[in-house]
Amino acid sequence: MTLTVALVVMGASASIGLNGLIAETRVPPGQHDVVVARTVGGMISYTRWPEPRPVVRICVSGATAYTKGFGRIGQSAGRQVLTQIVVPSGPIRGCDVLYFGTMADADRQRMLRSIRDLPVLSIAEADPACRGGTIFCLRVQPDRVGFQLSIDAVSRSAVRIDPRVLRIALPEGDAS
Amino acid sequence: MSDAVGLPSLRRVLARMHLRVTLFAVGLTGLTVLLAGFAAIGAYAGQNLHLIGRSAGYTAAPAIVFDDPVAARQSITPLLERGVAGIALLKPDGTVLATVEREGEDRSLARWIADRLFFAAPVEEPVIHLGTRIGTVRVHGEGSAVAAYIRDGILGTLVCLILTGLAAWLLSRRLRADIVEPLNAIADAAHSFRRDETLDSRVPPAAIREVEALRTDFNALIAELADWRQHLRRENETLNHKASHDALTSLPNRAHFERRAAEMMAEARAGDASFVLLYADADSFKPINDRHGHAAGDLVLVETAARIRSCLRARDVACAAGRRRVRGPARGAQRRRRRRTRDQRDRRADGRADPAAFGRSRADDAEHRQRDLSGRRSGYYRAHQSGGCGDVCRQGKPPRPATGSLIVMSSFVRTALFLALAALVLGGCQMSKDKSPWTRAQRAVFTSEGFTETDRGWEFSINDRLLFATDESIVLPQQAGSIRRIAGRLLGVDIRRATVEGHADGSGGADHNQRLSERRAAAVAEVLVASGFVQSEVSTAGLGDRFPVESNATVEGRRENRRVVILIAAP
Repeated sequence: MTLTVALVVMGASASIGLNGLIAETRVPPGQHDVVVARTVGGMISYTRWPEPRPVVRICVSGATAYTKGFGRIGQSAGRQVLTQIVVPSGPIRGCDVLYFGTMADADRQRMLRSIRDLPVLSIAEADPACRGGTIFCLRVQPDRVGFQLSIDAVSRSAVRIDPRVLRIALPEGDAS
Repeated sequence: MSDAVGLPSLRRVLARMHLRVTLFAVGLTGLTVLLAGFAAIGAYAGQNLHLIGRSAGYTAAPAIVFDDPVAARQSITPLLERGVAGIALLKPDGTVLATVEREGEDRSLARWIADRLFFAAPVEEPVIHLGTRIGTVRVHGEGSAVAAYIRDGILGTLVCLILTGLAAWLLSRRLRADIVEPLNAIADAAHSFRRDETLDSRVPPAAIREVEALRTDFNALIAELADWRQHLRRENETLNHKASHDALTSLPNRAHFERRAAEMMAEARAGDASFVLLYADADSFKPINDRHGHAAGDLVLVETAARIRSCLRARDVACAAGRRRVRGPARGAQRRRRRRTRDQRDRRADGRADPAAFGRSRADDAEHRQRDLSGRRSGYYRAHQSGGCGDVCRQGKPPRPATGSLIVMSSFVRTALFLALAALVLGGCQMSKDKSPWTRAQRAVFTSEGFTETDRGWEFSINDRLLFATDESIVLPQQAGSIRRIAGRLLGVDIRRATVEGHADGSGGADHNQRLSERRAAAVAEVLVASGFVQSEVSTAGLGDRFPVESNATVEGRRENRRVVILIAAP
C-alpha cells in the first residue's frame, strides 16, 4: 500500500523531486505563527497513531521561527496538545510529534534514526526541499504556508497519514 | 330498421371498448409508473446530491483544515458528475473556499420542469472533522438525468400505447370470430325470419358457452314458432272450412257457392268453357221434421247431401245454399203457385222433361242465369217431379215451400259433353234406384269390359288399352280385337250409340295435335263401325292436347296422354 502510493505520488510529483508532496495555505501578513500552528494541528488531526493519543505531545527541537502559536494548536488538532522542548543531542522519549527547527544535519539525522519505526510524526520547519527525512516539511513563504509530504518518510514510520492529506499535498506545479 | 342503421355494430362497440379499456389501463399504468419513477428518481437524485455533498465534504475536509482553496477545488472537481450543477465549499464563517460549476448543456422543457420540481433548492452537507463542523458543502442539482427519464418514459408509454392499441385491434378481431359472428348468425336468422317468414334457417353452433346457450334457445324458439305457426295454419284451415261449409251436411255453403259461381263465370267468359248450374229444392221437407222430429230431418238432409255428392265428379261442386225457415204460408203458397205455373209452362214448351234443357248454358248468358236463379228453380223442381231423386224425392210428399235447398254446380268444358253430363247428374241418382238409363245387363257389360261409371257416363277407361305410339293413329291388331269384342258386347246389350274422343300429347303443334287426335278417334270409331256399330251413331271428336291426363313433361305422362276414350251416352 505504501509502496503503491509512493509510486503513484512519485510519478505525479516528478517536477518537485523524488519524494515530496506540497500543500499551501494563504497567510495574512504577520499571521505566520497562527497559520503554521493551524497547519501543524491539521497534520496532527490527519495522523493516526497505532494507539489512540488523547493527548499529543509535541517535542520541538532546534531553532524555530513559527512556534509562537503552538499554545493553541489543540483547536485545530482536535485534542489536547502539549509542547515541550528537546535538545538535539538529548534523548527523545515520550514524543508523539517531533518538530524540527534549524539544526545540524547530523543531529537531525541522528534524531530521525532514533525514532525510526516508532509512532512519531516528524515535521521539518525549514527544509523546503524536504530532503531531511521528515514526514512533513513546511514551506513558509511570505504570503502562504504550504507543506510537503515525504512518502518515503511515512513508509519508515509507524504512524499513518490520512490519504486525503496526500491528495491535497499536490505537486508544486499544480498547486501554484 | 331505419333506427338501427345509425347504430354502431357490436364489433365496433367491442373494439371501441377494448381500445378505451386498454388506453385507459396503459395510460393509467404508464402515468403511474412515470410518476412513481419520477418520484423515485427525484428522491434518488436528492439522495445522490446529499451523497455527493458528503463525499465532497469528506474529500475536501483537509483542504478546509489547511485552508487551501486550490486543493479544495481540486478535491471536489471529480465529483462534478451528471446531475450536479455545482458544488461550493463554505468555511464556517460563510465565506466560499472553493466552487465548481458545470456548464449546462440541456435547455429543454423537461429539464426546466425537473429542475423546478426536484432541484429548486441546493443540498447542504456539513463537513465534519474530528467531531466538529469545519465547513459546509453546498450542492446544486440539475435535472438533465430526470428529464431524460421523463422523455424516455413518455416515449415508452407511447410505444406501449401503440402496441396495446394493436393488441386491442387484434383482440377485437378475435372477438368478432368468437362472439360477433355467432351473434350475427342469430341476428340474420331472426331477420330472415321476420322478413321472409322462413323458419328453416337454423343458427350454426358457437364456440362460447353463453352464445351457444343463446343459439340453442333461439333455435328452440324458432322451432316453437314454426310449430305454433303450423298450428295456426291448421286452425285457419279448419275455420276456413267451417266458414265456407255447411255445418250439418259438410257441403260448401252459400258463400262458397257464390265465390265459386263468380270464378266459374269468369272462367267461362274468358274461354269457350261452359258450366252447368243445377238448383235443387228439397220439397216436402217440413213434414219430415214434423213427423219424425228435427233430428230425423237433419239426417235426411245429410243423407241427401251425401247422395248428391256421390253422383259428382271430383271437380263438380255441390253446395248447400242454406236451410231457411218457412217464412209464411201466404208467401210460400204464392211461390209454390208461381213455380207450378212456370213448370207447366216449361213443360208445355219443352214437350218432355229434358233435365238438360234448363241447365245448359253458355258462358255469355251465365251471368243472366245467375241473376235469374230463382226463376230457374222451376227447372230443378221439374226434375224432381219427373224423375224423383233418391230419398229426398221419395220421402217428399206433394211440393211444399222450400225449407232447404241444395245447389249443384258442375263445370266442364265441352258443350258436346253436356248432354251426357246433364243426364248423369240427374240420372245418376236415379240409377242408384234402378232408374238408370242403363239396364243391369248393360251395366254388367260396361263393368266387365273395363268401363267405369263416371259423372260423364260410362267411360271406357282405356288409358291402358287404347294408347298410341307417338304421332301414330293406327289401331294395333290386338287393340282392334279388344275393341271388336267390346263392340259386340255393347251391341248385345242394345247399346248402339257411342262417342269416341281422341287425345294427343303435348309434343307437336296444336293444329297437328288436333288432327292427330281426330285421326285417332276416327280410327277407333272405324273399328267400332266395322264391329257392327252404325256410323251415324258413333260420334267422334278430336280434343287435341287440351285434356292431358298426365303431365306432358315425362315420357310416361305423354304416353298416357296419347289415348282414345270411348264414351257411352245414355240412349
